[in-house]
Amino acid sequence: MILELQNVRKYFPIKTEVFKRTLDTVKAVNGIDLTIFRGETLSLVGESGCGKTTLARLIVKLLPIDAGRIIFDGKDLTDLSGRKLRTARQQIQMVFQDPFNSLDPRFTIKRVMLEAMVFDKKINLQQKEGRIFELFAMVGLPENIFNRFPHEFSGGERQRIAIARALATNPKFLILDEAVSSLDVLIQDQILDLMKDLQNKLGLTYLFISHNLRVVRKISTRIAVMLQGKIIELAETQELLNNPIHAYTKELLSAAMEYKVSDQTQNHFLNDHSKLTHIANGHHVIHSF
Amino acid sequence: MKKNKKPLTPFQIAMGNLWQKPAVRICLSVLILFYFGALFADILSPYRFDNEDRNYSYCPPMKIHMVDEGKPSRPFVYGMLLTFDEFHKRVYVEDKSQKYPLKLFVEGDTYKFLEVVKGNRHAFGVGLPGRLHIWGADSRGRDLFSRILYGARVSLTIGIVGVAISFFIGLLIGGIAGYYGGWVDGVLMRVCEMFMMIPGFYLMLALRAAVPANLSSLQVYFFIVIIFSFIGWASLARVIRGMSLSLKERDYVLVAKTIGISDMRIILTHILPHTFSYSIVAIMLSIPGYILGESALSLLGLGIQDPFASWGNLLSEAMSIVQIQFAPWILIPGLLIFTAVICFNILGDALRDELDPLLKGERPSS
Amino acid sequence: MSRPLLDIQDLTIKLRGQQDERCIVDHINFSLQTLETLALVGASGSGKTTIGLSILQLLSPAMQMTNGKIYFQNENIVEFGREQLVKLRGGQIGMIFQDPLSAFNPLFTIGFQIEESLKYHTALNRKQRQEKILELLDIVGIGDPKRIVRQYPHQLSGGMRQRAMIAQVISTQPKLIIADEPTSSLDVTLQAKMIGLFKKLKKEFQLSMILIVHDFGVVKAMADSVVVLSQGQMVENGKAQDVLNNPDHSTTKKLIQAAGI
Repeated sequence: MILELQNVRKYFPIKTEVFKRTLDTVKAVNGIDLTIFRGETLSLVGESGCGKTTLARLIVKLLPIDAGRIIFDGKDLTDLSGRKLRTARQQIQMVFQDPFNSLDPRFTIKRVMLEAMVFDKKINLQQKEGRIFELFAMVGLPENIFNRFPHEFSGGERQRIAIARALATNPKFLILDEAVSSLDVLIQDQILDLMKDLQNKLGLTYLFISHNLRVVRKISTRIAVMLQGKIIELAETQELLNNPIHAYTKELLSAAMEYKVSDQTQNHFLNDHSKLTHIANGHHVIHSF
Repeated sequence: MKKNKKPLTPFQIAMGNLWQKPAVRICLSVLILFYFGALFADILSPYRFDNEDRNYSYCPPMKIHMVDEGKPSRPFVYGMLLTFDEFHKRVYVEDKSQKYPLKLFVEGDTYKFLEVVKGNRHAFGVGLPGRLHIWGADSRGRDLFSRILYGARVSLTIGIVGVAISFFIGLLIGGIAGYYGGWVDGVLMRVCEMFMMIPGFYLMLALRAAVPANLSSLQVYFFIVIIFSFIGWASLARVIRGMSLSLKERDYVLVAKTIGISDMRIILTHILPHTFSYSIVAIMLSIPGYILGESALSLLGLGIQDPFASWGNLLSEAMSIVQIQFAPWILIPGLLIFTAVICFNILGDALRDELDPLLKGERPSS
Repeated sequence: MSRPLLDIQDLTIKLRGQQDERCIVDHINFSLQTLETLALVGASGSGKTTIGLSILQLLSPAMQMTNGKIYFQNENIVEFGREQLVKLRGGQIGMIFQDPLSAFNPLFTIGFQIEESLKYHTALNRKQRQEKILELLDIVGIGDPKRIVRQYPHQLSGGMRQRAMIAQVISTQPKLIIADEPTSSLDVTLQAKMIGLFKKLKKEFQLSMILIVHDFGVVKAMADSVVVLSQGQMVENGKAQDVLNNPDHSTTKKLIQAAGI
């Protein structure tokens, strides 16, 4: 087990303009319990607004958590700060969705890579450059891109650079937040193949976030379905696709695989205390109490 | 095939584009000329700024003759005799009996170039006892051309120095306020607004009055600069704060955070550089304000004092209609202020037109 | 065999001023029968959107059609004058764009903009137009149409905007609808709903459709026939079922695999 989330919650208050009274709360992440195992690819699927991106940001501590614990590689990250947090950060990296925004347009590729390695005090500049070239080779980029700028590259190439950057700190765990969604459809498969390759070579664990089930099933070991801030079903890929239990999962599968959707909008009522329960063979479904 | 050289940043491409425009080249050349004159004032001016000769009081610009009694000769000037006409008005008549040839590298007043190198050679001039006033002289017979060159040192640099300080303060405060948001933003912006609330000119006068009156000219110079930058940073900070607020949401900022880079470093390397397109233009367009501000102060006698020259206090002699009518050359400093301001404005506009697409994050127009 | 509704012959489009450069669209031929749904499939840069725009003669000024004929109802619309084109666009041929936010003017309400379209292409009076708008919004599956007509584009969700755009396009009862990536920016369930809506509208309004997509899944769900494009050239075409079951060209195979179907 490499990552464990215990009852993670993140609420966003909606405030009135002038007096800052709290009108209501958006429960973006509403009690997530999740264990991710070393070496697997867990995909988190859900529609817009279900909270999957918020959850990703909580794990890398871009947002402060409201309740719950995040335990990575045995260490409790929840209250970590300062230098200890920085060291822990090197182990969990994220690749973002938009290849056009995840690289600073004023930085050369060299600078982008060196920035990622800035806290690595053990090796000198020359060794760092050597490592960068290694990383480029691993993601399938030529060495001569060192002094060029992001705008000179295509979306697919930029995403490779982003992956190389993410691997620069030697992380064990990579979060891919819709990392292929903005890419041209033919490039998507190339990047997915690259990721599988890297996982084998480097023994990485992936959390793959997407709304596209058909892409997700190509690379996942397990799939978790998210709705309204909660995980409503979790199972191994084939098991989920063949035996969905929750009504929402069935809806999602029918829409994604066959473009069929029922005419009535189903209301899936989930209260704050619904919990993910194990049914059989690693297949979990949410139960409302 | 292109050579495999280091490619240009979008910024460098924009600068290259700018240089192509004739208006930019002209304005830049004019300004470079002015600053060159200011830097080498000691050498280029025939006289020191306080070299007076009451015999040449309000002497008009002297003609440089190239023809001597019908024959071409090397350039020379005649001595000027002061006479009065029937209305007791000053009239200068060329005294043909005194001929003074123009010399290059002539010996003249001593100076200390940049306070380091001693010398007494001037670029051009006439030997004693002649005097050369190519742009005329003021009430005390001091050469206007020389005083203009020395005055340029104050007038042209006060804008640059003041703006540099405003730039730093404005960018830092704006960047920090936008990045952190919350109460930090609130406090900093209220401070900004306090500064912006006070009418600039009156704040300037008040601050000047608070400064002791018996300071050396150099100290007065620094105080004026500090006073100006005090006023100028606030509006820049507000705009930078707005930009910082949106820039901090960009993915590459989030990436830097996930690497563990400190907030200050993120602000300095990822956020503020993206505001340069705006800030450089804002600064360029505010320099004229500083030049005019200094002129106003000196005109009122609150800035650089006599005998030191600045274009502003040179114009104080021109506050009387009588003087303007009879000695119009004392307005030349005004013309130069006008020219400098226009050049800065044209450059600023051209910069903004060129950098505008960069502001929106698009590629440069080339 | 009746004449095709749309017949494209030897369509070639290049960048203006660069006659010997590579073509954006390279000698394309295909035709569309009435009530048929044809999918133009390809990756980005394949020229599919350009073909769609050229049918309405809406190419950007940077591009130029150097060759070809586009017959719509047996008339070559390449030769149409300005007035004829204006009547054609929106009236006979409607286009649904990928980004519903930019398809609407943010300064005017939804109702106002749909009414504009009706004002221009139909002879209905004000009351009739208002009724028709509500009717249309209902048909496209927008609940509470009376409230939506008064809303501005940014106040609606992505799916609603998409439906509103469709309502505007079908308001003039065009014969042909060109849909450019109609489902790409939508969530999974919304995508399925949109495809359901398209099928329903196709039946009710007797529409012929050209779908510009990169996702073979949409082809499978909706298209009768398909044209596969790669870098401006047509690499494969045929009945959708045939191409899906027996893809021939490597690009087709890659696209089918990418779609994960």
